[in-house]
Amino acid sequence: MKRSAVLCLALVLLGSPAFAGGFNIYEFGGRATGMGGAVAARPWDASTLFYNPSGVAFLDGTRFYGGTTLILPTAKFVGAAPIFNNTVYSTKDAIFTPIGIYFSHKFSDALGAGISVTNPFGLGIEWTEDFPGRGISRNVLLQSFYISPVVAYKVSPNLSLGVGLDIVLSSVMLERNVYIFDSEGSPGYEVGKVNLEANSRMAMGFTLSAMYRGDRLGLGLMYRHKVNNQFKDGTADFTIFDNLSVPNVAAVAQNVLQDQKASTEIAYPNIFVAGVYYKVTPKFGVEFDYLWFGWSVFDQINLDFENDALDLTIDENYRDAWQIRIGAHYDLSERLSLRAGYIYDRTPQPIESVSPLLPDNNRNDYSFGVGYNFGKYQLDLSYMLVDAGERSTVENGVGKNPEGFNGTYSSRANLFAVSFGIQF
Amino acid sequence: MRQVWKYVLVFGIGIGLWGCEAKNPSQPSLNISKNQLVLSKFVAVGNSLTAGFQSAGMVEDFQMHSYPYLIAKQMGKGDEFQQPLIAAPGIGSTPGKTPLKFVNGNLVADDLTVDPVSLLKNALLPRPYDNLGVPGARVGDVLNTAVGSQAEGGNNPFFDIVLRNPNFGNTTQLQQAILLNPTLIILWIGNNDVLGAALAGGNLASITPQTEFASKFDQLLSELRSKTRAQIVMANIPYVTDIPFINTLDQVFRANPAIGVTDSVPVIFDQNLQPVDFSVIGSGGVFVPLVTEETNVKHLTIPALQLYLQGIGVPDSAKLVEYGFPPPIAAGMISGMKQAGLNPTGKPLPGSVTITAEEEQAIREAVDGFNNTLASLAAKYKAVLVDMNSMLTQLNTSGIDGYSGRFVLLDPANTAFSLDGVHPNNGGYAIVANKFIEAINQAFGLNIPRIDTAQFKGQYVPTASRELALIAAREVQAIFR
Repeated sequence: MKRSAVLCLALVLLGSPAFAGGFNIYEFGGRATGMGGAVAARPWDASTLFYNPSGVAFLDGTRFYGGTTLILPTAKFVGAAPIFNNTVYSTKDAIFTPIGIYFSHKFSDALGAGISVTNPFGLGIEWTEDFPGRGISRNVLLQSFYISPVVAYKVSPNLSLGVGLDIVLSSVMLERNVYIFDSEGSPGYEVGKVNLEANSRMAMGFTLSAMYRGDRLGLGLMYRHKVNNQFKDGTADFTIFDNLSVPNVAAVAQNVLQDQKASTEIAYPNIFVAGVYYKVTPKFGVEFDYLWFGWSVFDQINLDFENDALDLTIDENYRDAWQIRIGAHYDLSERLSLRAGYIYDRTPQPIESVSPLLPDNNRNDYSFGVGYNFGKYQLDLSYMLVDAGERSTVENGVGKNPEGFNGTYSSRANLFAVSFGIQF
Repeated sequence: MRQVWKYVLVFGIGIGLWGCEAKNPSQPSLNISKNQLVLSKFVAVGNSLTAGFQSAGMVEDFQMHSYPYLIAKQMGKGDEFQQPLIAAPGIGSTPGKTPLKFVNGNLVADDLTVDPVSLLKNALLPRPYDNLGVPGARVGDVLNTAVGSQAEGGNNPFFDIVLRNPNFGNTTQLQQAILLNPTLIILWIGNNDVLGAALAGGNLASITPQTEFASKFDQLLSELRSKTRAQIVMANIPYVTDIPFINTLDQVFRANPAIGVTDSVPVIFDQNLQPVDFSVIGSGGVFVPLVTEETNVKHLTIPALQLYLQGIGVPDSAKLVEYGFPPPIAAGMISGMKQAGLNPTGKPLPGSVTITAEEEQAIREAVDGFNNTLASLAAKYKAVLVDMNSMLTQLNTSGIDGYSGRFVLLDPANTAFSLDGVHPNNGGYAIVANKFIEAINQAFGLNIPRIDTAQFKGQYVPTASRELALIAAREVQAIFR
C-alpha cells in the first residue's frame, strides 16, 4: 500500500532529462533498465509496447506495467586556459522522472494491443547563475510525451508484426542571459536574461515492429519514425537586470528586448532497433541489441522571434549515431531475478556543437537490477550509471566552439528505475 | 532470500556512491598566451588625435590613417575595428567648411553644402564604435558628455556623430567603451584641457585647473578599472606650444641691436617667411619689429599671418620714428613696405595671436602638471603610460623616421603635421601608432609589427615654387577638435 503511494507520487513528477546520446531517453521500465535496455527481442512485460510493440501479441491477458526512472544528472565544466582560470562550474542538483506506463490486452490468440505513455526525448541542464556560458544556455528543459497505441498480430505462432502510432506533445524551455553590443572578440554587455517557453503542436509518428519468439531464441526489429515538432507562438520573456554598471542603457535594452512571441522546431530522429536474445540455460539469458539513430535530422535550432533582429540559429549538425546494448538476466528462483547490462552509446554530437546547451559525449553505461514477482504482481528495481566521461572543445590547443566558449565538460548520471506490474 | 537482498543493496549503494557525481574535468589550454588575449577586443577613447582628425577636419581617408585604426590593422584586426567613417568631402572644424586641402601650394577649404551628420557612412552599426575619439573632447567630456550641446567647449556636433545619442541611451564616451566590454583600451585625453589656451594666443583662463583635471581623470580610470576587464594604455600630453600652429613664425623673430632691441622679437617678413633686412649698406642686419599688444612675445600663431596681411602689426611711420629711425629713413621704409604689398597701419597684433614668454611658461607648467597627474594615476591604476611628450620633442629636434615637425608650407615633403599645423598627418599618426605599439609590445610581451612610416611620405606634393601664399593661411582655422 505504502509502496504504491510512493509510486503514484513519482508518476506525478513528470519530467525528462537527457541520458542516451543526444537527448534520447530509453529507460522506461525497471526490468529493461536493469538489462541495459536490451529487451527488443523478448516480450518480458508490457514495456514491450515501448521497446518492441510487436511483442504485445505474445503477452497473455490484460496487463498493467508502469513506473518511473529517477534520473540524477551531474555535469561539470572547466573553461580553457588562458581565457578562464581553473574554476570548475557544476550544474544544479536536479531529479528528473520520466515515466513509462503501459496497458496491454490480448484480444485473441493472435491479436494483442496496448497503449503506452513515455517521454523518450528530453533534456534538462541547469547551470549556476555565475556560469560563464550563461549567455549560451543557463537552463534548458525539453520534455516529450508519447502516447502510443499499438496493435500486434501473430502471423505465425512464433512471429508477430506490430504497428503503432505515436502521438507526440513536447514542451521546451530555455533560459539564457542576454548580452548586447557584441563584436568580434567580445561578448558585449550583459543586460539581462530571456526565458523562452513553448509547447508543441500535436505531432504524429509511427512504429513498425516484428518479433520472433522461439523457445530459446528471440529476434526483434523495430522502427520508430521521426517526429518534427513545431513550437509555435511560444513566449519570450525578457528581464533587464537592475544595477547595470551603465544604468542608462537599461532603457535602450528594454526597447529592443520586448516580451514577444517566439517559435522553433525540434526534430526527433528515426530509430531502428535490432535485437537477438538467447536463453543459454533455463535460468540464464542474454540479449544483444543494436540501435541506430537518424540524428542528422537535428541540424540546427532556429529561434524565430517576432522581432526578426533577435532571430537566432544554433548549428547542431548532428551525425547519425549508434548504440550497442548488452543485457543478461539470471533467475535465482521462480520469483527472484537478477539483471545486468552494459551500453556503449556513440554520441551524435560533433565537437563544434558541444556547448552548455547539451555537452554530449560517447557514453558507457552500466546497469543492474532485480525483479521480484508476487504471483499477479511484479516489482522491478534497477540502477544505471551513465558515464559520459570528459569531452573538451579544445583539440590540439585549438578551440572548436564557434562562439569561442571553450573548455572541458564531464558528466555522469545515476538512474534509479522502479516499475510495478499487474497481470489481471 | 534476505541475504541476496542485502548484497544487492550493498552493491547498489557502492556503485551509487562511486558514480555519484561527474568528475572534475581537467583544464584544457588553448594555443594562445594570456598576453595575446589582451588584443581580443580593442577600443580607443580620446579626442581629435584618436579620431584621426587632420587638416582641420574629419573624412574617411583621414580616419583610415587614425592611429587606433593603424594599430588595429597591425594587430590583424583592421576589418573588425569600426569607426564613425565620414564620407567625402568630410566635415571641417569650421562650420560649413570641408577639411583643408593642399592645392598648388595653397591651403584651401571648400564650402560644405550638406548636413554634416548625413555624411556618416555606417550610422546604423548596432553597437558603439570601437574608435570613440571625439574631436574637441576634454577629460570632463569623456566622463559626462553624451550629446554635442553638453560639451564643455560649447556645442560640438562631433559628439552626436560619434556617440549617436539618444540611440545609445545618452551614454558618454566612457560608458560606450564599457558597453563594448573591451580587453584593451587606449585612452589619450587631456590635450584639449590646455591646447585651447595656446591656440587662442595664451588664454590661460581656459586651462582646466590641475585639481579638477586630476579628480576627473581619477574617476575616469576608476570607472574603467571597476567596470571593464580591460588593460589600459594611456598617453601623456605633448607641449602644446611645440606645434607648427604656434612655432612656425618663430623664424621671423630677430633681435635688432641697431635700434636697441636686444630681445628676439617678431619683425617684418616677406612672402617666404624670411625677416626682411632693411639695411641699405653692408651686412648691417636692420630688422623692423612688428607692433604687438603684448610685450615679451615669444610666438606668433598662424592666424597672425592673416592679420599681418591686412597690415595689423606692420608699423607705420610714426611707429618707426618711435623705434628710433630718422623720419626720412622711416618714410623710405614705409614706401618699400607698400611696394612689397604690406599695409603699414601701425595697429598692434592682438594678444589672441601672440604668446608671451609668461604665457608659454604657464602653458608648459600646466602640461607638466597634467603629465605628473597622468604618471601617478597610471601607477595607481596599473595602466601603461606612453610618453608622447618626449616623442614630440624628438620630432622637433632630431626628427623621427625622416619626418619633421615643421609646417607643411615650410617642409611639405617631410612634415609629420597636417595642414592645420596642430594635428598629425598620415605619417605623423603612423609615428604615434608605433609609439603605442612599442609600449603595448613591451608591457604585454607581444610582437605586434611596427608600421613602415616611409609609406606615408609624400602626402603633400611639394610645389616647384617656394612662394608662400599668405592668403592661403587665412584658411588655417585650426581649432583643436
